[in-house]
Amino acid sequence: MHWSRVKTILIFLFLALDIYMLAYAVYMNYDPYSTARSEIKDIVSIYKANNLTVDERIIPEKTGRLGIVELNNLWADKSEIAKRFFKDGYIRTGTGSFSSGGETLEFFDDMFVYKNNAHREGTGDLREFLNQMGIYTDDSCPNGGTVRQKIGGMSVFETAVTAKGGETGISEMSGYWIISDERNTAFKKQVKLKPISGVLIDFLATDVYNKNGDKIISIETGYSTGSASGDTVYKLVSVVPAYKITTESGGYAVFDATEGVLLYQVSK
Amino acid sequence: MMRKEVFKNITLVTLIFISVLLFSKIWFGDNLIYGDSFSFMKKGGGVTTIEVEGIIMPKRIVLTGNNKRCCILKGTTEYGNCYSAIKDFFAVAESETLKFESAETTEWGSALKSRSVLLDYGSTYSSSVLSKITMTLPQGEIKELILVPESSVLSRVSVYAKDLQGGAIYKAALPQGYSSISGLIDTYIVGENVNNLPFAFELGFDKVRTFNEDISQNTLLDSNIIIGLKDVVTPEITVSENIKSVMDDGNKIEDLLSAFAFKIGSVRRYIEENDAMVFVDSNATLKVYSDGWIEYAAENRGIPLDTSEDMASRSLESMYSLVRRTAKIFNMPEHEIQIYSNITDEIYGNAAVYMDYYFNGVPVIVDDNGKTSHTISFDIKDGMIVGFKQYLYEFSNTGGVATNGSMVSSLDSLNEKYGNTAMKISDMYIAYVCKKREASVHWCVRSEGTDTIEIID
Repeated sequence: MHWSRVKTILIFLFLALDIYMLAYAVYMNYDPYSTARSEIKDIVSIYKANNLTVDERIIPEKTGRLGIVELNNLWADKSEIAKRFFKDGYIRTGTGSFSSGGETLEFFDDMFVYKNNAHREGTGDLREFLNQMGIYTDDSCPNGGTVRQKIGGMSVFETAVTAKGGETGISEMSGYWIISDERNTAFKKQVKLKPISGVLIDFLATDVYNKNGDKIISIETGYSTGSASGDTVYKLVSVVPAYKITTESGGYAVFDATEGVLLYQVSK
Repeated sequence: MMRKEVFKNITLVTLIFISVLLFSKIWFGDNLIYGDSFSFMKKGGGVTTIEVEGIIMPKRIVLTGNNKRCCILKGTTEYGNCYSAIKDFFAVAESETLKFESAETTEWGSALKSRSVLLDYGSTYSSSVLSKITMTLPQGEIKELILVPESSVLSRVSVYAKDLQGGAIYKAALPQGYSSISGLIDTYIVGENVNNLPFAFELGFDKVRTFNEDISQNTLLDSNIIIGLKDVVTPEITVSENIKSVMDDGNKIEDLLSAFAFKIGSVRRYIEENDAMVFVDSNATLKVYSDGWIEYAAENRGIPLDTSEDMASRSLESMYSLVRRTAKIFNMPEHEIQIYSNITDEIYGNAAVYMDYYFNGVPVIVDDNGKTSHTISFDIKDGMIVGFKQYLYEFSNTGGVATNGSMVSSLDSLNEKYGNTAMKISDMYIAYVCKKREASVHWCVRSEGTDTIEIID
């Protein structure tokens, strides 16, 4: 009976196959995009030579995996937004402006501005107010403040709402927001993000920092709509994984983290 | 022994289980190479010179003989057989490796008036491009060729070429082909008397003439424009497009992005308020308008032209490849297309290249809020396509016809509009003008030295 010999051959074949596939799987999971500590120290030195200081502790060593997210923007229709603000009805006072009683809502390109000149009963908590509008956020702001739009816990850099409020309610609110929900959101395939080291070097070519001396105060990983305005006029908006590098002087640059290229820069 | 076999069995089963696990992890796991860009030339886009011939064939073939003249336009039913015979002639001519020699400039006009076949390619081509579909031509920029069957005894056909760059006329004599070219002329000139289809130079419309103190001719026509004296009847058409159904198809979108060299994994997608779909990456923007056109603009690099071997031909092939590929993605029928712009080696540098759809032998142009556009346009910079626009229209005949006045009456309208302003018209033709997907028929003129088209109301 040669079946015993056949089994022996099969064992060796499968062993070889498993070793090969294991090596391949390990190779696939190898992260070539981590930044070594020595590289971080080099970046700090290069920055110093360019009159920039950066604390190496804020430079991330490892990158994650994120993908582009597509959101159907339910608020590209301005009258839809007006309906949510003014539940008791409104008057259209212009192409991009609405009013109801002492309240006004105006649109300037992608941005909306709400003002309440009358006493509005209700909460001064921005989160509650936004939830009533269909803007869902977990960030609590009991007396107004700024709330950033987040996806999967990560900020969308361009979309945020800032409000002044208090016990008498929200008196003024402005910002950008992409309104979507789970059903209208598509998560594209995740990819490894580019290492921050290359992006930090490219940052030196921007004009957002003071060449006579400045400091990097934050390096964030999040999402970007691709332009400094919120792009909230689109019916469908894509946000791409991005890095945002902010300086003490107030300027910042946003990079596409999947390609490592500059999306836009804002100088102060 | 028994224990050994049990051990083997357990080991084998375990190894098979591990291999299934590892295989599924690799198969369904993330692809490290995800998001590679594809050159549109690599993925099913390449065309050959033979296919490009379709867009650089003669725009019109004018046959003269026995006091009659016939003008056959590209896209009409007679064109195919007529052009096929001419191609056969060129195949013979090429095999003879003829040598072109300088000829007198007066020979050109004489050749046109004589028993001849004029091949008008509509645009100027570098001889390297035109030689690929005709025969080896003299160096220069060529728009027209004339074939003259000169002698039945010697069976000789003379081929005339005019270099528009230097102004020289060249002539070569092929010691055969007389019967084929002469037979072609006899086949097609059964219609009009030559006086009903005169060339502009035969009527003196190509020169400034002063008749008296008050009357002078300031509008000049290119010598070889045929002056039509009769009203023109053209089939009416409807215009439609098929964009929405294509843009709902994810596979089609991927094909489209690949065609324009986008990295699929990092493309951002937007839909504007007017339902235009926008694709953006770090290099370029691609917009698909629900009204029926697509527009590409490169921020940085663009799409490289294939410039191996001779630049003008290969660049043209790259551009036509993109047009064909886009049309295929949008399930468009294969339109007749004709180059409108001049194709010289300079198109590799910085150039705007235009092409027109043809339907019923008539070119189609677009009136975009008062601005006339060609149905296909390219912006080329340093060997890269940095701009592209293509209207994704389909056409069908309604069964009705439109009647336009003769060319002469349209010229009168033009003169009335411009008064005494001097104009030199390099081309004048009937075209379908699409405005918001409604098509009407108009006379159009092209002024010398420009790519601008003027529509005559």
